[in-house]
Amino acid sequence: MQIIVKKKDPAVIVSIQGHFNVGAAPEFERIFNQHLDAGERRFVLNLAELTFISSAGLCSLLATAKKIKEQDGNLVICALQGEARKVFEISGFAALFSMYSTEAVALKQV
Amino acid sequence: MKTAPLTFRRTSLAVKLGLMVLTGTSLVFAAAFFYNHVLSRRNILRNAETNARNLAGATVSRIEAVLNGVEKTPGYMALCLEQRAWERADLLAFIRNGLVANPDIFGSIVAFEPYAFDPHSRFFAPYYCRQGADIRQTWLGSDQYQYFNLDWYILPKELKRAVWSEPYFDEGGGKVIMTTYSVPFYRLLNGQRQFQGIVTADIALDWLVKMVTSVSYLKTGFAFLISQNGVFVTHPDKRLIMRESIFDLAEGAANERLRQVGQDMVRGGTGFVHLESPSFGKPSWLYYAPLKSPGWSLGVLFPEDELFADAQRMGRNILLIGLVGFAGLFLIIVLISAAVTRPIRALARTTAEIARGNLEIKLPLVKSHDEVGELSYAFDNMRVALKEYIAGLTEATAARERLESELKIARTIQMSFLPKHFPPFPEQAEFDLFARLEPAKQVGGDLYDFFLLDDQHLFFSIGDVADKGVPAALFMAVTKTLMKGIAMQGGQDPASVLEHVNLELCKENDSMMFVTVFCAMLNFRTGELVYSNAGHNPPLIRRAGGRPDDLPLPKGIILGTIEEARYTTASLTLHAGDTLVLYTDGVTEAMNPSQDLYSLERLRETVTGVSDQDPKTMVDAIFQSVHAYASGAPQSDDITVLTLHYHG
Amino acid sequence: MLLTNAHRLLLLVGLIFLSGTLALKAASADAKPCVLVPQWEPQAQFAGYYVAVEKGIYARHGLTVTVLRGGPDQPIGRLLQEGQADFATTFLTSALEKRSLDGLPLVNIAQMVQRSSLLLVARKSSGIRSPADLQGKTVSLWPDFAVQPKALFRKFGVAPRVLTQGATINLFLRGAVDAASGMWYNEYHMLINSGLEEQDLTVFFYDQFGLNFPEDGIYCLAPTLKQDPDRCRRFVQASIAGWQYAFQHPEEALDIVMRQVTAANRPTNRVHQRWMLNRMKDIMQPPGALPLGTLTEADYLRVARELKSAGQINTIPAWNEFYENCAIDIPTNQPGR
Repeated sequence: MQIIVKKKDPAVIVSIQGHFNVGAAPEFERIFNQHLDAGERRFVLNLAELTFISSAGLCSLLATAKKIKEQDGNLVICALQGEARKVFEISGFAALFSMYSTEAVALKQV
Repeated sequence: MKTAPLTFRRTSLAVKLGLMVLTGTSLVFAAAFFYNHVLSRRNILRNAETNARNLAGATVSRIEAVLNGVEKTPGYMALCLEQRAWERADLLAFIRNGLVANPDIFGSIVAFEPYAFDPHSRFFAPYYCRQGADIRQTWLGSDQYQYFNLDWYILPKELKRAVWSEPYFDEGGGKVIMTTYSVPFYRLLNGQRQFQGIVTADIALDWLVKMVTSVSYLKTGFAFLISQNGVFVTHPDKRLIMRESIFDLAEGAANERLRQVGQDMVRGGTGFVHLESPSFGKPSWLYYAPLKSPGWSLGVLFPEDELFADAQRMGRNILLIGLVGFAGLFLIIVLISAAVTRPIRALARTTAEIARGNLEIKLPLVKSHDEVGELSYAFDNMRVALKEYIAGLTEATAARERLESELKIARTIQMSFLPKHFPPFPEQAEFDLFARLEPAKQVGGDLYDFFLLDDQHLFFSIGDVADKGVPAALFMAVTKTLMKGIAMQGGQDPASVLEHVNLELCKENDSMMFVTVFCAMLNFRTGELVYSNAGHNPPLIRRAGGRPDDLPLPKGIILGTIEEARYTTASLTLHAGDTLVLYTDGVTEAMNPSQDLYSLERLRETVTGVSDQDPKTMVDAIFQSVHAYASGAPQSDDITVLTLHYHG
Repeated sequence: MLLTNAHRLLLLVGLIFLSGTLALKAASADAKPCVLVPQWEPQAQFAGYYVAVEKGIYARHGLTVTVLRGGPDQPIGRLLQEGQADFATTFLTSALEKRSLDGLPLVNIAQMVQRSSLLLVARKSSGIRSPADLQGKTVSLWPDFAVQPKALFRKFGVAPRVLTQGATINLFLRGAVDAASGMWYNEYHMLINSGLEEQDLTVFFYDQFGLNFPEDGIYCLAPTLKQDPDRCRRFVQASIAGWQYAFQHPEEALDIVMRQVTAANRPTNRVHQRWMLNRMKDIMQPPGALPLGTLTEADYLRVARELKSAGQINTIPAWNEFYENCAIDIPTNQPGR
């Protein structure tokens, strides 16, 4: 997995490429914690290039989202597709997150 | 021998250095010593030969001077006897005068051939000899004393030349060794030179014995004289004199070399030879030179060790000095190198301590800025690094051990909650059920369950807790227990069970743990199946003789996140020969070494490939296929499969 | 003189017999005194006798034996005749000559040396390889031992120039003669130990040419034997035992010989005497030899005939009168001769 972070006002855009499994979870959470500590509150998670997410990945995502929410932040997801989108739907995650088709839309809504 | 190399390896650098330097200097010293030894030996030998030659030469000259003087008288007499016929009285006076004129001569004969002097007398041999201060005359020759056959007569006669006889003891039986010089004389008769007789001069050799005996060389070296037959005429060992020849001596001592030397001596040779002397019983040197006129040989014999005694003493002293010097040198080298290597040894002791695990020990302070100082500094850095590394390692090990024990606990919790008795309901012929959970190393949280609600309803479920370790295991246990408890209350459809369970799980769920669950109730009498889903993968359904398909699922969110989540119950009817395959994403998301997923397609193919109706066969086939695909790649998630075959 | 002495002896014998056989037996039970005179100066040639004295072998045989110093001054004939000696050793040829020429009634009571020790030695460098090569050469011979060489010369039809050989071998050593006589046990070794090499010498042993003359034998006068044959047997048997002891213990025998040699102030040495003792063994016990003491009539006749044809003796004594083997016992019930 590769995580790319870029700052694009008003949010921090985090892009995940490849597999999001148990091995990737700590790095994922560390990045978000780091930005939360730095005072960022708005996040866009770009999952255009996410090829797979495991239950551990979902767990990590859920935990992160809840932490952001607790600090009055907001996390939105964009560009989810393919197998990963199916997982989100089956697991009911799709109902838990605000999901947008493109990064640009997500940036406006975050 | 076994310990020798070990000992050497243990030998300190100082000693090694000392030994090496010592070996080098010893070689140089040995070479110089050997060269000096060889050279001085050669010189000593050359000097010895010269001295022995001079000694022998002087002795020989003195003896020959006397012998030559003696030879003159009978020689002159023979000459005179050849000149003319002699009157008896003249002849007697002539012989007597010869004796008077030459005091070295003890006696003298003029012996004639039979009837040669006096046609009437067979024997004519007047003999003059000294008796005290007087000179006496006797007549030799009788039937008993036929002088013609005696050596002194017949030898010069036959050899036609003057001859010195072999030495002999005097007639009187005294102890005086004598020898006789015999000269043949001839007369011209009828124009032919005819042998007439012999003139002799007897001399005592006591002076010669004394002279030769007085010769000494080195400490015990001596001179000796042997006759032409090799018989000892003089020798310090009196028993040999006139009794034994040099060849007897050689035979007695089985000394072939001595025999060869003796042969050269009696042949008149000169030589300086090395031999094992029976006289000394040790290696000796012999110089020998002939006394030409009598054909005797004078030898000067001396033991080799005396010859080289001085050289040997000198050699010994040099060796001693060398040894003491080397010992001193060795000591100095060892002391110097000990001083040089002391910090290294201290370092070695310290590192040995470090090697034993004591990383707290301070390295000895080395003030010098040489290699030893650098080494010491580097060692200290190493020690500190090692200490930190070990500390880190200890911590990591502890953490891993903690984690591992936690995982073990988690697995034990998880596994102990699962029903593991198969077939679970042997009395129910309507269906067969088999399930297996293969826990991953790190992730625990899969669950399956089945139980009879009443005599016609089977409840079965599968789930996956999205976390790891003990919390996940506990969460799984809670989920399973809740689900069973709620389902067993009766009168509830699967969606209702899920809603109740969700509500319970959402309470106090601070860690944001969730679980996906698929649960179903089968009326195994009718085949009616009702089911609901909370975010779990859709199970596969294979209708009798058909291909597997995803079971159509109603939407339903994962359990444990949203309290007001609502679930829907779906239903369908199973017919005889239908098979349900419930699984967790551990199956489809199993990875091979290049991190490709096993995928739903492969699962479908595998399920299609199994014609057997035994659910265990199906489960085995799936696990086998997944393992084969993973080809040893580590399993990252629990793998769970539950298969139900409906017989109707 | 001889007859007178013989008569005297006979008279003495008679007197002894008169005085009674008991007395004689008593005397023999004690130790009978005997005197032996060897034909030459002390040397290993007589080792057996010296050993028999010193090792008490004679004493064990009931004899008290004195060995006189032999040599040119002690002619055995005279000593036997004068009664100064009872027994003597000498060559078979010498015994025959003495018996023939001096009329001495010598009886051989044991033949000790079976094989001629006398030899003729030549330098190979003189071109002498066989007796035939002696033609035209100069040879020195001992007058007393000239029968064998002259028979050899006749046999090979050679006529070398013959010189009289004296007491030394210097004629040969100095090259004055091409060949010389010698005893194997004596002169031959002297040549070797004057520096000559054996391989440079040609040696003719007479037994190789059918001229073997047995040499040393033990002799006594006929009356001595007649008067007390028992004493003679004891003497011979003890002497043989002495020899056997000497051959078995050569170094001890040499010690004894050297004591005799030293006492006689002889110019010889142990090495030479060792050689002599070894050669005595060779010529007394040559391979296939008869027991010590034996003289065969054939040997006797050959020697006697050669001596007669050489003119050394006039008559050949009767075999039975000349030889009585005292080495073997005659049963006591049979009276001795």
